[in-house]
Amino acid sequence: MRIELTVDGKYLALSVSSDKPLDLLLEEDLEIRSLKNHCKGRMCGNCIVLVDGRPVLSCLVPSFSVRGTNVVTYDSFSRTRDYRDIEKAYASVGAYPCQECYASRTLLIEGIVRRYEMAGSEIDEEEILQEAFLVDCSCLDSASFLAVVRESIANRRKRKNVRRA
Amino acid sequence: MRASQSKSTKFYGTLVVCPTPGVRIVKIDEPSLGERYFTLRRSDFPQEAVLSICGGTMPVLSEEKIVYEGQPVLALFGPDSESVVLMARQFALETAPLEKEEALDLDEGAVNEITIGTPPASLEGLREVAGNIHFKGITQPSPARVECECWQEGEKLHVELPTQWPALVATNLARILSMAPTDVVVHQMPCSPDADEYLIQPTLMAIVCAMAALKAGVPTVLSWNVSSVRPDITVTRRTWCDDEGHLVSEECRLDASLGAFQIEDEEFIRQSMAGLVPNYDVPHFHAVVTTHRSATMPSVFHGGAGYSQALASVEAHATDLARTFETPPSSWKALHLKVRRPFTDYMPSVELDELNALVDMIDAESDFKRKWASYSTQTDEFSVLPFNRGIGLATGISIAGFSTSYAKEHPASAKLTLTEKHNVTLLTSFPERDGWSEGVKRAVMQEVDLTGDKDVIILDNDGCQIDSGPAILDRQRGQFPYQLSQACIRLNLEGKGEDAHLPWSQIFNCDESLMPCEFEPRGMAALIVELRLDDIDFQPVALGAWVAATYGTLDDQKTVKAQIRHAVVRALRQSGIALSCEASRPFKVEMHLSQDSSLKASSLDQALDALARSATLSALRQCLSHIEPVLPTSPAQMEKAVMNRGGQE
Repeated sequence: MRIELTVDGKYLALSVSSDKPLDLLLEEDLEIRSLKNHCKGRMCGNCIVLVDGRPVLSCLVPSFSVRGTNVVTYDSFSRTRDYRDIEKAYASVGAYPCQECYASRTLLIEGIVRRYEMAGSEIDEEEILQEAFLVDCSCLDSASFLAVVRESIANRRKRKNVRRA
Repeated sequence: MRASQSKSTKFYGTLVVCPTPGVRIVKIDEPSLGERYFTLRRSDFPQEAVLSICGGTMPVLSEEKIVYEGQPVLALFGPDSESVVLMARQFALETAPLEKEEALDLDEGAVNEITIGTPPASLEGLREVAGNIHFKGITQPSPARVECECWQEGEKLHVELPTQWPALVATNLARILSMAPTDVVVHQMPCSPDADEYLIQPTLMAIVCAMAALKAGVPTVLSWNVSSVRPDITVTRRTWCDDEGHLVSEECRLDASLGAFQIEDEEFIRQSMAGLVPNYDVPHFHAVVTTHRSATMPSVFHGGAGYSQALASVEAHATDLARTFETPPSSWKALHLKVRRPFTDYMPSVELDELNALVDMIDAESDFKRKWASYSTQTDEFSVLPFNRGIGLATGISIAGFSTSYAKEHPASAKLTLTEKHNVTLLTSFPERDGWSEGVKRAVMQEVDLTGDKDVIILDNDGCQIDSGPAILDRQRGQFPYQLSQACIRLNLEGKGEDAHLPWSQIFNCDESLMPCEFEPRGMAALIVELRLDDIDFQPVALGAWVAATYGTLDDQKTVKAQIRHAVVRALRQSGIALSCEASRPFKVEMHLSQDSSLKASSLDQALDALARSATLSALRQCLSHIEPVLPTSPAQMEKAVMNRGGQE
């Protein structure tokens, strides 16, 4: 099957098996190195990518469903200013994810931050904490995760406000 | 992928495993493979394909005798990984049970004993407090997809894989393929091991992958999901006390099932012995540790080598004793803690006053005594739902890395070099984890008096020149820093001397020689866990944890706090406990850190793991006094305890 999509800002036309999981497509066909897990749907949460700005577990997404979408992986995201907002939040809270889940956790936070980056929107902590369990890694506790998300949202809002001003 | 290789010239492989232990393969029904696929079987190896590790051996591929669940039978290689996995599913294995004499001898193992003090003349008239704790054996698959790649360049065989132990891979490959060890080049890929999943299985994969590369004459890639194994351990304790609550004598027995093959059982026994000796004052103590075989994959260091489980059993029993005499555990510990831990072959004598000071730090903050009293009076209260809150306390000393005996038998090293540009390079095969390299850079900068962190470079051990050995049991933080500091002192004296020739380098040992004891204390900690049972499904949910810890060196508090948080959360989740995600009170770890210069390099991973497990069990027993002392918890165990609350059947 031929699919066309944008990965990390590059428009691509690929010929792949239609039910090949997105993580294997990114890892094997495009050699994206930030994805190294393949838990075969056991929900380890270490394969998160952003599809049209929403965090998804790429091992559960078949290739045919990403036709025409914009996929962002940690490889390209880690070179953006948006990433700096989250990186700063890790440092100021003093809670760092482990090496294994760092990429996924960061993209998960980015997905949340994008929802709340507009100043004034109410932060639903309950919802954020439920989402935290998408990454099944024991390196961060709930309170620290929440603190990092709050700090990242504050950083993003501050940066956007400065830019607008 | 190497620049000179393309995907079309490679073969991708996977392993076909037997799911049933205790059988032999009678027949293998192969699908029609065609020219693009080939299989690798035991008969393809020039000699017996046996993986040799820490004095023990295990077969790489086996058809005659399947002794553990998931044992590899053959490998299948083909043009791409997807089609190989699909094709591998079509293999049908016909099996027959093993004859009795061929089957695994489950009693084969080792026994060791320790006695401290003189046994009392008689135990008659004394009150006996018995307790046990069972740590269920778990095989935990790692979500990471491990890939091993092999290719030949002239005489050299190159292997690229994530491993903690490159020398083990190289020596096994050289022996099985009858090559000179120098002709095997191991390229280490980055990995972040949680336990010891990157020890045995990557080596096994490398052997299969290399043999396939030689057979096909082209590069091969083998993918597999590795897993770590925690052993099945049961600890039983019996303590005799007089009417006033003074302890008179204690007996302890630890039984462990360590997998299908005997690999470094002695290290397990040494670590368990170090953990079993109680910190409370008991005039006579006797312990027996017995290891057995089991039908599971062996785990080289058994996911922790026994210390944390042994220490957890001590602390859980201390809470049982406190409960028997209706005293809060913090008060009971203050009354019964020894002034000094006795000297044994496993650990030197240690002042224990600090442990009570650590308890005091978190006792008030967590309101432990009030909660303990309140929850205790309501335990097993009768209503439609059981009372659902509990709190537990545990304290202990940590160890790290391997014993002196192990380090002597299996030396591991790193290389420190002062270059011509006056940079310092450190060559090691230790994997990066939890900001370890940043700590090492800071330590070298301080010791060697360098100005910028760019002057310290940590080199990947590409090509297996130096083997630093497994990085499990927090050896990187517990033993290595002291050795590194000694190496830096030598570098200052000799490398910076006027007549020194640059580059000046030295290879130094990664492990300390701790004669006359096997281990040294690496820090102390006290930990409190509060939890509640979910009203609907009785799932235990941790509400909060409080930790007070003493470290030898405390340079970067943020990193240390992140490590503590990681260790506590990991132990809770491995014990089957969910973390509170209520927005009003999300799970949080409160920490108090202090420094004690009498301690050397510190690591609290082992102790925190043990303390979190024992505090969890104590808290669970406050909610449900009839709960079976088994970790990790299971829904069936919770349901049974709820049904039996208050002695009801």
